[in-house]
Amino acid sequence: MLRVEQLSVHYGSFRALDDVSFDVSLTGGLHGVIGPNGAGKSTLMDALTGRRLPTRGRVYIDGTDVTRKSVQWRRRHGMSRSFQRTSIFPGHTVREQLSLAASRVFETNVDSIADVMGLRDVYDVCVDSIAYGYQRRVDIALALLGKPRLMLLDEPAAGLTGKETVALFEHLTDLVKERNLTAIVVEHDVDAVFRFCNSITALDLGRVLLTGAAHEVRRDQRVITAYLGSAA
Amino acid sequence: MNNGSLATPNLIYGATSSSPMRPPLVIAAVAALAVLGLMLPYLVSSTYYMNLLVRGVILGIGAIGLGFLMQQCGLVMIGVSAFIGLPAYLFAIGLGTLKLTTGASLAFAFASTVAFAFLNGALITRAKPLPFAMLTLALAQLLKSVVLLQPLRDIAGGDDGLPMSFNGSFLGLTQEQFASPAAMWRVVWVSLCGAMLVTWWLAQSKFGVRLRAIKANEERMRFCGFSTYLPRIGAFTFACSVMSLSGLLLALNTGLASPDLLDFATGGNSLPAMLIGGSGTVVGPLLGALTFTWGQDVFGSTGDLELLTGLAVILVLWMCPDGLAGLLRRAAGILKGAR
Repeated sequence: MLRVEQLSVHYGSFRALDDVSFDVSLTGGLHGVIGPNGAGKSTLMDALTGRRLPTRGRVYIDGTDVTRKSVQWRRRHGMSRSFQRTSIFPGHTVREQLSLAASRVFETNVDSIADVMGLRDVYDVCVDSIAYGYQRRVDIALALLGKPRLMLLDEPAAGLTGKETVALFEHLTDLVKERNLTAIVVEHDVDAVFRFCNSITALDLGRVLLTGAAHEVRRDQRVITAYLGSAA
Repeated sequence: MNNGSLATPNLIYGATSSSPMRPPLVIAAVAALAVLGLMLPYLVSSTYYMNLLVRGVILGIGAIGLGFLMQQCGLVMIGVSAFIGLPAYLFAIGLGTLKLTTGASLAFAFASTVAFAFLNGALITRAKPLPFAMLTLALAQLLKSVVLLQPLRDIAGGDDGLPMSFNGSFLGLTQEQFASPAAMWRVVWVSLCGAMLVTWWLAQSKFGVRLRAIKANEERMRFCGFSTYLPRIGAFTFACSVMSLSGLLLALNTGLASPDLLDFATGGNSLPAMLIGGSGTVVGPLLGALTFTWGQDVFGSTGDLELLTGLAVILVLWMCPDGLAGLLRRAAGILKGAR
């Protein structure tokens, strides 16, 4: 169980996250985080993964307080992430960077990760010269190495077309099932989140509006007012 | 699983290569080069030019350390003189104050400098590249101020520096022989081959791969579970140990540890040497150092040393942004294409 308790991140007087609390079961599945621009989604991702220390509050995984653990510790203990702006190692082939990252998390089957993410076609191609969609997959593949229990994906569909987004989410749905993995997905494409995520946390102005099943969140008036508007 | 390394710096050509030279080939090439180099005193009869070559290679060894840090970590070290002057002073203190034998004094100076580099690395490698560069300069200036302190005059010699008197021979060579360019050449040449081989091996190793990955995307490395701090301290310590080898060779040759060795200008020469040769290769800084030393000799006789050096550095970097090694690589590419 991932437990977020009263998590706050302040930048001076600005409260990017304010008293955020929710639980996510780590029994496998996709958990979406939605909210309009400035809702605090990426800040939440950073605070959960240790990229940014929260001003207040705690993050627990299976009862262990990980709030102040380093990102390296979290990675070695099963928490991984991808980034909003594709974060890979420029100048190197897909195979080279997966092999490098695998060595730290004791992943012995890099080839299978490449297969799972559909990267075999570009395995020995320099990552700078592959299509953006493939680069996004490499970013996710790096997070998949070492059999993490919890994977946090920051806007994995950013820059992808509608078709590519659906394909990616279908892929992620299969992946979490196969690997008994829980993925927290911050995503702007709410249609994809409602369609594919088992549970959702909706944020607005740094606060949690609601955490619940996709259909509950979709019907909630606060979410409709804050985020979905007439699109709902 | 394929454990293919990230692009590896090539010994001879190019910043990186997807098909790096094989270790046995490199070892054989370096061994052949080492043997050929040892014959040089038989070919160059002029003491003046032999001395120039000795100085060029000593500068080149320092530039190799500097180039390693730049190529692997993207860190530029302005205060190289700290790790050229410090081992020279420690060597002199070992011989004089501590009354150690020449060999023991060299070992003491080298080990102490490496330990000092490690401690400094722990403090300054967390800094971003520009503050890092300035911190290394501050360190060199600090050391220079320390050796000039009046209360330390008995130990460090003040403005006069510390003249050395070797306690016994080292490697079968006496102090007079170390001062002779022909005898010293063999020592600096073997040191150069060793420094190049170890630097190349380290760049090829998993450690080198990690350093370059940290340089390419430090945050992603941390999120892959790697420490990015310890490898940088290791790289800094290694680079400084190569530079300190250069300082010790200079001390063996001149028999003097002077405050000038800790001056910015001393280490400053390593920077243009590395840039002229190209930091993307192990050989580049050596090529640059030899060219720079030759240029200093030619320009020095005109009386406009600084002016002509400045113009020449600008011209070379304008014409070959990747340095002389880059120029050689391009030439090799053209020749290959012509066949």
